[in-house]
Amino acid sequence: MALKDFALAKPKPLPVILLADVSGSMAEEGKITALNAAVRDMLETFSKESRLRAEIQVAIVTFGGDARVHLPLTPVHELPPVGDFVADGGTPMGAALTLACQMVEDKDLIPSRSCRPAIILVSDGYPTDAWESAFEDFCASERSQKATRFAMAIGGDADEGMLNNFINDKEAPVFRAHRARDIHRFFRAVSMSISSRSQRQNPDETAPLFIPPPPDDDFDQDFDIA
Amino acid sequence: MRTCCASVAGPDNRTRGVPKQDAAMVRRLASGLLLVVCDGLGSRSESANGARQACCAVKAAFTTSPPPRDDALCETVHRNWVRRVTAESAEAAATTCLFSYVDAGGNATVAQLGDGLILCRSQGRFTNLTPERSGFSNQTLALSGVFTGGEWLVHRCALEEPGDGIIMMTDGISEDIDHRRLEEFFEEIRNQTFSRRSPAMGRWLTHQLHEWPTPGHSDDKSIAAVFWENEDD
Repeated sequence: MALKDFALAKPKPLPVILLADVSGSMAEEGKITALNAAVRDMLETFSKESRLRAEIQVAIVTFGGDARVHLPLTPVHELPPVGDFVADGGTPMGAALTLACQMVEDKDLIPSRSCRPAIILVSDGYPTDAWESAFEDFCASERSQKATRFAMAIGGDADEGMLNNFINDKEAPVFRAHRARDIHRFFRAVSMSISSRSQRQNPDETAPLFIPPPPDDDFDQDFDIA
Repeated sequence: MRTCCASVAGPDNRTRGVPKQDAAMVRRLASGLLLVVCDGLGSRSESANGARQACCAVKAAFTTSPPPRDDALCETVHRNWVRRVTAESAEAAATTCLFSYVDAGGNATVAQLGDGLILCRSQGRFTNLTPERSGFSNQTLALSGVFTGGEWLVHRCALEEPGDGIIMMTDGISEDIDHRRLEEFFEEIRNQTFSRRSPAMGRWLTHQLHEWPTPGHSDDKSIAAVFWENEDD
């Protein structure tokens, strides 16, 4: 028998967990439509990566009315069709953070040979549940605190203070999306950053977040303008 | 006691034409046998030297008579290492450090700072001495400028029965092994070691590491092992 018989046949996983606000307010001003399109683009971008260095795996947790796993952690080359989000209900962000924390702490789901996970939080409002203790648990938990965390505030009503506390990468401050196309810009930047990591010699090194410039057309309506 | 050892550069370092940042050593000392494997942190500029000097620092600790014990042992290794790499370069030379010392009676002292894996069969019973990592890949403790005794894991065990032994490896190997089959892996290395003369075993092991099959693997790979010999071998 050769030693290769004991070696794993898969590259290191690079887990990406999206926490998506799908509360009722996301139905306004085309926000949920833009979010659905941007997430589809992101998944398509990931699915084209080569898995040469690391295998991107994606999970989606939605919070709108209740928090639920919209997509369990799945290698991007094995993704099933991912249904669109439907905006409805309040903003139980604390429950979503608890679900994300459970995923990251699960060593069977995310083994210790994994690259540092990336967690993306997008929201357009203030949490409506008792999120503080869930957030404290998330930040204090052994593995969640080591994940790279990105955040996007959609519109002017998002809880930017909370989102600022969520992020932990100085090179990736909270991105403010004022228009539908900004949602695309953020997800494009996150996709590029994570894809870049997956191609690196060391996929654990942080890749800078370069937000692409907005397109020239100016027909997109501000979320903040009535 | 039978030993084997191999240390190879990973595909990344081979492609870039730079030296490996792992180091490994097996030495027969006057009073026993010493094995060391070290993995210099890839992100640090002097880690290749740091890993080599860590092997020398451990050896120096065991050539004092009597060797220091437990916390004093790890502190001595750290002090020796800082002296060799210099305090100014200690952060740039950061490296993991795993070592085992087995005296003539089979009494083993095993220590680990940082990533990697130590497997042991003592008195016929197989054990994985390395606790599961709490973080993710490439997040590791390492020898650096400051000594923190609590970061070291130190074990003592007895190699008494034929086939007892210790295998130590850097994370370039341990992260890619199926951990459900660690005991089988241990037995395979032991059987191969007993079936070959030492130089041939070194060549076989080196070839196995060069042929590592995990997709996307990039790290250097080092392994060292010692086994209590069967009486009829």
